[in-house]
Amino acid sequence: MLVRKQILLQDSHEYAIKELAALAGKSFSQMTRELLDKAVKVEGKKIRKKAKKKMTQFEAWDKWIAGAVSGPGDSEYDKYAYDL
Amino acid sequence: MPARLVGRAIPNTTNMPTISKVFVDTNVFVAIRDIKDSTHSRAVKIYEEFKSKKVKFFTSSDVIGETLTVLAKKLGKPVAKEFLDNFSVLTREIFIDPLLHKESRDFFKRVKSKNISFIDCSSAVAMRRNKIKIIFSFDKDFRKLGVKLAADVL
Repeated sequence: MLVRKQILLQDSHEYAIKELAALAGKSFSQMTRELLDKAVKVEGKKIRKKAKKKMTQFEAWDKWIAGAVSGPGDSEYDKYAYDL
Repeated sequence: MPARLVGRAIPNTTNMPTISKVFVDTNVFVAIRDIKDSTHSRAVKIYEEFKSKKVKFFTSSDVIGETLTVLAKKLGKPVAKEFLDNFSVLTREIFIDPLLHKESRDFFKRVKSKNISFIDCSSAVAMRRNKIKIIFSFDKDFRKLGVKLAADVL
């Protein structure tokens, strides 16, 4: 689904995208969307990896604790533990 | 008498002035995630104390493997997968390489108690190799291996 968003571009970006769109025979919007698709994939991976690395040990522990659920308790744990 | 590791024994000091490194055992990773586990509240409380002391947590590749198995069986595969994705942030991994593995096997042979698992032995060996004296665990058998339980030093 296409949505209308207003963003500010550097004029250098505008010229570059216009040139690429003309060369590819595509509209400015189409060219921009295709470039963004690639950028989101490539840069997204790097940014997510960096964000994960930035989490501190204690933030990770707090998150681990926050995700605690009601499990089967000790008797079941023992049963499983002795199965190892 | 606690079984001794090869080489220099782990000092049996009674006072721990500063705690900088702590080894985390399987039962803590599991208990802290299971509200119904009888050690859940204690585990969270001990963790908070370590957090206030800004200790660095360590664990071994053997413990990670054991934790994945127990988590998957006890709390389901998604929780185990979550642990797999995050253990490297939760702790620093001490990889049990062939040398540590061999040392663990030798140590296992020397330990007389039937309640000491092989993974417990590799944990004790990994701790010694990395100069870690305290284990965050509820398994009292570790005292027999000459290491200190977190509850004993806090």
